[in-house]
Amino acid sequence: MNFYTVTASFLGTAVEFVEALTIFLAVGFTKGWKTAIYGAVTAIVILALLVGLLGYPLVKLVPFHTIQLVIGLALLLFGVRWLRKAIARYAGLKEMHDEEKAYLEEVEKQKTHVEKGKSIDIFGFTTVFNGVFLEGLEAAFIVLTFGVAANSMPSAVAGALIAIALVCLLGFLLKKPLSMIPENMLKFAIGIMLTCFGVIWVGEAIGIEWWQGDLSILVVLTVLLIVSLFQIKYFSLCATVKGRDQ
Amino acid sequence: MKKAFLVIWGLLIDDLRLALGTILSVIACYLLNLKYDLGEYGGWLLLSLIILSVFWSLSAESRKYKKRNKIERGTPGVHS
Repeated sequence: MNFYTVTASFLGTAVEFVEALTIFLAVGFTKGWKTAIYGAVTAIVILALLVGLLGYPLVKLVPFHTIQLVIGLALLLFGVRWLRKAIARYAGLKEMHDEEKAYLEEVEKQKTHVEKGKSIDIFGFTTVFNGVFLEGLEAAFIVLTFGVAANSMPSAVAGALIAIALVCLLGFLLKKPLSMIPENMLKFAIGIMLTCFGVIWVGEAIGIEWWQGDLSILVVLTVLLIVSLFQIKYFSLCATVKGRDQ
Repeated sequence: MKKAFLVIWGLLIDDLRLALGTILSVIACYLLNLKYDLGEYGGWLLLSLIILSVFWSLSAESRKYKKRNKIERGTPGVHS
């Protein structure tokens, strides 16, 4: 088992499934659990088919260096996107994501759209399907890339399964959105991890040598954390000054 | 097809400036490493360029925030 891969896969999947669970619960409570479960199961089956049909054969057929470059670049793009969003939210440049608010908005949306005489509500089904499919696609992307790049698919899958089980269990016990999970903090942490692995793998793929091999991971993580904290401070100061100037 | 493209775009490229900065950093590092054999410095150069790309994108976000604030607070007629 690779600890880094399990942690990164766990965090990435947990964030995505918290969002999917919010939609699932909102539809379940307003349109019935049958609709919500059908929507979620259909999305999961299609996702599993897509990953199984496209993901694994790709890994077996394409040379390792090419995969490392493509996956590293994708991870890097994904990581910097999350990191940027988390920094912007902490600095006050963007509004914080609120699961409770998102849940109430979704409930309102579902209530205004009433379909009578059907056991499965098409609007509710489509909402859950879209939510679970898109969030699941992001999670599958993280699991696949981490698993392939670290050459430890079981670790990546284990991290993802633990995250799904934990999020579902918490959702089932609380029966409300997991708003107490600090989503932005998770996004910040996973953003740093994805960026770090992306930089390392892209670097290796283009022929760059890393100081002390795997020990560089810790150094890159620390550098990224310190610089990101500095950026949060700097941009929150900018936002305050600009707010005061207006 | 268009929807699939939009999904991939949304997954990977949220901000064009950030994506461009990241890809150009990788290309620049690759070319410099090819010509000068940067050795262990190559990694730190790549990391620095990526950090600069994030900073560049956040600066633009900060300017957008300023502009948004200005419109919301200053333009007559917006809230009237």
